[in-house]
Amino acid sequence: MGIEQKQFGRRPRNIRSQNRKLIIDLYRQYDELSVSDISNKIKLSRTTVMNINQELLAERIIIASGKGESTGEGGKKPRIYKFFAEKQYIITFYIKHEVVLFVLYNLKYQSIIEDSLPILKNSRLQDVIRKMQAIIRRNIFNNSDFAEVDLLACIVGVHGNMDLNTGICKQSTYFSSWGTDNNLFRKLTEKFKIDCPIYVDHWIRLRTYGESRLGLVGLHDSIVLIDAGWHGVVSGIMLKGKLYTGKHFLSGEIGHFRINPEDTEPCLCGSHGCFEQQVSLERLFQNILKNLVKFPESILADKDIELDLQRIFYAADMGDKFVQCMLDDVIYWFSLMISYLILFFDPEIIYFEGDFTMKCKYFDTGLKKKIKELALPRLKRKNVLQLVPKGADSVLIGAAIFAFDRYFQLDSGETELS
Amino acid sequence: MSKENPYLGRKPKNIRSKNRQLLIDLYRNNEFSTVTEIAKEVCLSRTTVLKINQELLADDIIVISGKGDSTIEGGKKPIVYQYNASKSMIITFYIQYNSILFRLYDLLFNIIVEDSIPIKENARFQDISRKMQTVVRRNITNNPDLADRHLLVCVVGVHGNIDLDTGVCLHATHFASWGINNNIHQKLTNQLGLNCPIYLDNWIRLKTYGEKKLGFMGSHDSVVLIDAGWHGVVSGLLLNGELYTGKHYLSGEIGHFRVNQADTDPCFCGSYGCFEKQVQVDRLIERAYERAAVTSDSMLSNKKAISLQKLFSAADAGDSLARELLDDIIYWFSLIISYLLLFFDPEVLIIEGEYADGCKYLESSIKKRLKEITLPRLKRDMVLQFNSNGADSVLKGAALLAVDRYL
Repeated sequence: MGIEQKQFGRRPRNIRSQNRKLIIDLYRQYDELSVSDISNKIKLSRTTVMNINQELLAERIIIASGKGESTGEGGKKPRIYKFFAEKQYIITFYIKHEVVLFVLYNLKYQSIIEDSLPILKNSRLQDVIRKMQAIIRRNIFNNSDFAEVDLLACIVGVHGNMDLNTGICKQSTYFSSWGTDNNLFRKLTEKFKIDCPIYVDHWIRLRTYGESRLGLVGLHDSIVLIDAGWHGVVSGIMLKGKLYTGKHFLSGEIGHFRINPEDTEPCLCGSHGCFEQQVSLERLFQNILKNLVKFPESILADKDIELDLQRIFYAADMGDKFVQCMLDDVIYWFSLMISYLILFFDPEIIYFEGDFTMKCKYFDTGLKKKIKELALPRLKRKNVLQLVPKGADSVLIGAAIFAFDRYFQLDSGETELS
Repeated sequence: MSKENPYLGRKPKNIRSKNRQLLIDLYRNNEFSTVTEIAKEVCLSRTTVLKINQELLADDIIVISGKGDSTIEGGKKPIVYQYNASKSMIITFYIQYNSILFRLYDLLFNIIVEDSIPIKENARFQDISRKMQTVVRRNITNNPDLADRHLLVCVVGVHGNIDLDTGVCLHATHFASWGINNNIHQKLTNQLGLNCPIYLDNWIRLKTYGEKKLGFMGSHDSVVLIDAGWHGVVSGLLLNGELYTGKHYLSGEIGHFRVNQADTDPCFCGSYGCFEKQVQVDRLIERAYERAAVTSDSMLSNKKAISLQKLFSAADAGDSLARELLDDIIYWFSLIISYLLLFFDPEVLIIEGEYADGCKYLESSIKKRLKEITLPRLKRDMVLQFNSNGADSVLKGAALLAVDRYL
């Protein structure tokens, strides 16, 4: 038995960088802070905080914003500092299946400009990039208020498996025209011509990262975040506050578990019987419409009603047996999949987001009950599933947080984009 | 699982304990070392190494073994230190379904004593702990050679989900008589009366840890180790080189993925259609007998006793019946492995146990099928490996984990 990798002793020098990260984080969270406030919050000496503050002032990451109140005993008024949110800006893009979303954030993640442009389904990458260029041009280069601003980073969330070391998109199931192993990072860098680093990552990871830093997930340290919607089903994994990407950046692809071998309808991935096909909204709507004629007593049988998920959920909660039966199929597949995640990964919590998380008691309770039946039924275990409604917004804000943390090396991420 | 508060500032106080651990590791891995050698190896100052060495000497973890050679320029001969391997012993137990395996190790993982004792299937825990007491008595308490040796720790590998904080066995699928939430740590402490801590864990984690430490996993640090055999199917996970237990110590239970909705044969776990039922060796052999009885042109047709090994040999020799029987197993294994690849995306996935006994047909077919069903358009390296390691690595893994945790 030998030591496989050379190990080095620990020295105090990297403690300072950890504390610096912690203090930057505090400034981002609070409007204004004094040295004593920080020292109390993170239990470091005033001297340590003051030394780090001097560095941050010199780098203009923080600025002095005046003086605070004296304590009850009187004494010198403390200096107050604040985060210099307008020092730089972060460009964020999210390439969805038929639209490119854009938000320009300041360093406090306040949305400064929002924009979007439609794209065709399965657009070629060069067309998508042209639209992104148009957005940058009209919102930044041709905008007198922002033409001269300093950009911290540009981050792009995509529906594809990204190799974070090379910026290559290995595969994008929703943009098959991109092919495999497409160097997205290089193409964006060549076309954008912006003076800041560009990061590209899978949208679910940006979203998961955002959730972890905004506090929803932050209290837990082993999380699976499932998102089911128009794009199919995918999951993000956080472990000890770090994104888990998998060894080949392919983790979380639960949508392509071949869960129903009897289903012969092909999936976009090239296989069939995939989980995301079993729970696709399109299929649910089709099944309901196909069978509705046989159930005239159903709430949905009213011809004036346009079919959408909200109405389906409403009907299920109102006790509509036909709709409940249709939903049971979806519940079954979701609970089967979630039982697999629980049995294999045993996370602290599973957040379930996307289209299915609109309030529907029938769906929610049905799912939780079935999971208990499927995952070692004799065992007493806590429910780890939470249904959380969230939108595309959390991808973009997650992207901004991720870019900031990566730039200032606050993320302790597993990989670094070259 | 200890958690560092991420919201508090860092101070240098825990650096020393990390460096102490590093030095212990070095002494374990090198026969003899001087302060200068260690300082060079771990890039610490000689003063720091000297101070930690003083502590380790005082705690009897290392001993002075003599003096080394002077450098070419001459000067004082350096003191050479050595790991005090004979100081303490580690007791390891592995409770299998029909026997208890026992080994006593020294701190360099040399086996001092080996023993085993049979148990009944689904034996009550009180009967098992009594047998363990017998083993301890006849090998340690009543052994005059070991009278002056100190017991560092006792590690017990069990086929059950153990809460590592409390030592409670949450659930043991192969010992239904243990019930749920059985505090077997407390029971063992009372029964064995050992003068050392007792540590319990799921056997697959001990095995995974052992194989990582013994170098069977190479430099890989995100690994899924699947073991399929008499006990069913279970997996151990390594994440960044560390064991991943899951939040409730229940990770890796892939044997109970409900994969076959058509299967109504109940599983030990209380469910049905579980993966481990689909690949159960007894079931496969039973099917082989049934099919062989009505097939005349198979190599299995005239066999009085069909074993898994015979089935493998027949399949490798091109026998259609043997291949057909294995195709079902191949189907289920590749399905589950594809789930693990898609969700966890490990660096390597290792299959051990009875199905890793060298059947070329089985191995190549699983690999082929995996490519077909796991994002088939994507070019990816094959991460699947087959190894044939047995109970030995559970016990050694237990000893390795004990030393790493308690020293």
